Amino acid sequence: MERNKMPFIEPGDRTVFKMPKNYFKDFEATLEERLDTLEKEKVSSNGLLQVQTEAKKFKFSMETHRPILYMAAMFVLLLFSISLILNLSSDKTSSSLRLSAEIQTPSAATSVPTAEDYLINSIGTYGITEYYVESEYLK
Amino acid sequence: MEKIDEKELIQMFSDEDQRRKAFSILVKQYSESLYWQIRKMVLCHDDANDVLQNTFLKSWDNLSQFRGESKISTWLFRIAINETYTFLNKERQRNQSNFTDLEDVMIQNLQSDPWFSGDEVALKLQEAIMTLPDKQRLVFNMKYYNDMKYEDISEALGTSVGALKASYHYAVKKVEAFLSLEL
Repeated sequence: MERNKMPFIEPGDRTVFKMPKNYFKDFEATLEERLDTLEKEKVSSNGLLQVQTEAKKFKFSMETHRPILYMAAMFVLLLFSISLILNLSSDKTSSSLRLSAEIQTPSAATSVPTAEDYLINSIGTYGITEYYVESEYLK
Repeated sequence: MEKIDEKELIQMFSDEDQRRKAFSILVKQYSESLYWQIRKMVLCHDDANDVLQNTFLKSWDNLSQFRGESKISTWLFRIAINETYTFLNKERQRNQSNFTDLEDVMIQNLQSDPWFSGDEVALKLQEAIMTLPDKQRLVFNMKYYNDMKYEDISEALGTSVGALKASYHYAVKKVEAFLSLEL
């Protein structure tokens, strides 16, 4: 056999390699401990993973429902605008109606102007002092 | 040790309540043989211990998926070999950045390893084996140290018997050539 050409170490000879006493017994215990730690870590990371999954789900549902949300927002905005326009126009009509009503039924104070009213109105843009100053100067 | 046949053990793997117990049995049954396979590849005891732990942790992760398509020993052996290759490749990369040869570093570490008691000749033999590529080294170790049958090596490595015979033949030639120069 080929291995007989190498007489240095017999086949299966493991004597050159040693290991600590009770190594395999200790190895089992060490492995059990490591496995426990890893399992605990896995459980805690699973909890974190669950939270992350929920967040992802929420994000996903937000993304899928985004067009609907936009449409709803637009609808609300539209309703608000319509109501605003309607309010404004109703204000305008009511004020114009009030104005026309005032024109049609003028009050007693405006219908019969006094001499004083006439004088004040005739001054126009002039100030009342300027009027007196001017009239005195002309004299 | 508790004697449980392979079928029963595989059934225990799929049962979540019994998985841990099955795993303990697995570690008891296979840790020694796997240790020696790994040790012959990485040489140093501490490294072998690390790789063996990683092997069992990986097997624990995949235990529920094991359906018994291959023997438990074969499955574990493949995981161990993959973990060994991963370890060696990482070490190789680490040493490349330091411009050192992994094989030289491993031999140096072996010399100072308190768990190696070989003389100069034994050390030279390890040096000669270290000149082989990883897979050829594995075949050489399985045949030379463990005296395994080619059929069993073939099943474990998924390589044909013919290829294994050729691989071992070339490995022996290389080792002999190295030793004839060095001794």
